Amino acid sequence: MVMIEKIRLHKKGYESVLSPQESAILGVLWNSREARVRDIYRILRKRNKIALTSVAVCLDRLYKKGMVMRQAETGPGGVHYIYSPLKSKADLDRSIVENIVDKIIYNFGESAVSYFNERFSKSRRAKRRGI
Amino acid sequence: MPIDACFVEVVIDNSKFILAGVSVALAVAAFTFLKMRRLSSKAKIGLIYAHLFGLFFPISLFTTNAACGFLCLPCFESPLGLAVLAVPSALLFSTVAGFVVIPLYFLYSGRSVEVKGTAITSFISRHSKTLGIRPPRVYAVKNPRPFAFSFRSFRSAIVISIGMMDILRRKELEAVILHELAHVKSRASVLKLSASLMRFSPFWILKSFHRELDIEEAAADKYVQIVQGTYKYLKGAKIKVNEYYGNER
Repeated sequence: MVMIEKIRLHKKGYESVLSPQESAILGVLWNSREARVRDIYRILRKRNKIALTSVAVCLDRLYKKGMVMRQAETGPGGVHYIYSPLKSKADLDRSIVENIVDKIIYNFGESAVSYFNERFSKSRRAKRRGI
Repeated sequence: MPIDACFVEVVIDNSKFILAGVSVALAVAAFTFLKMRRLSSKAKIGLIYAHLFGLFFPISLFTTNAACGFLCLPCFESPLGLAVLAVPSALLFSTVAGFVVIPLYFLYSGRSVEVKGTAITSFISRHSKTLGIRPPRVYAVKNPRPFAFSFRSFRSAIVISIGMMDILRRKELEAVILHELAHVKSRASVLKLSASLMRFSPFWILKSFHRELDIEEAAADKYVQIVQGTYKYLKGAKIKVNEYYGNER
């Protein structure tokens, strides 16, 4: 289960729930399917200045948030973690939304539910009118 | 008071059983908390020591009690006095046991894997030969945080976290391994515990054993410098480890 602890309302997309580095790392993992810390670092440092240790810390945070999984793999150079996304982009979007909406309903109860009902009714009416 | 009468009093006094019961309850509580995954390594080590102390204290209490009773000394009459006498030996035994138990905990809690047939093991084999020591076993701990230590129970071992292997370059990792080999070597010639292992002692938690650690750490660093001809790889490894923990906060 995805764990979201805070949401930055002034940010858009994944950066509202993840740091820019975490969002970038997820992007890399969705493209490459699986990667080591160093592989992700090599891709990201071409775009921005980033430290290898930052990539390692962010990957651990993503793992604890339930967004990536990791497996230890023995290779010639020792044992390394291979990270891969736990969910597809679409599934992750859904999980994040579910998580946030559930929390809002838990915290605000009736007020939240009635707002969502009103909002969805307005959207449905607008859709029917073709707006 | 005749010795026989002292000994009878030793056996039938309930207060010691209550003390022992509380101690075992502490050991059980510490063990229960140990199962909580979100604890830091320091907290886990503290709990392991609390658990060991809880187990050793009743043994220490009853043996001290029996000794006092046998010698007909007044110490057995006061539960508090007896507890005070029993604490140092319980602390000593639990500390010594900790040096064995804690590394084994890291190895056998299902969170580590022995590393065989890799460049690391060949490197260790080669340098162990140079040092005149039996090659230690190498274990990779399934932990994303970078750390490494060595210890010697029945056979020496070097333990490196996967997190360490993920962030260090080959030369930096070799520097760390050479550092740990130096600790293993120093323990092979003199019966003393490695500074890296002292990290697992309650004294490290209390931060009161710095001088001894510094001397041994400096010697191990010096060895790396001699073998690699430079300090830069070890320095690079230390910088990355500090950076990691800095970024974590």
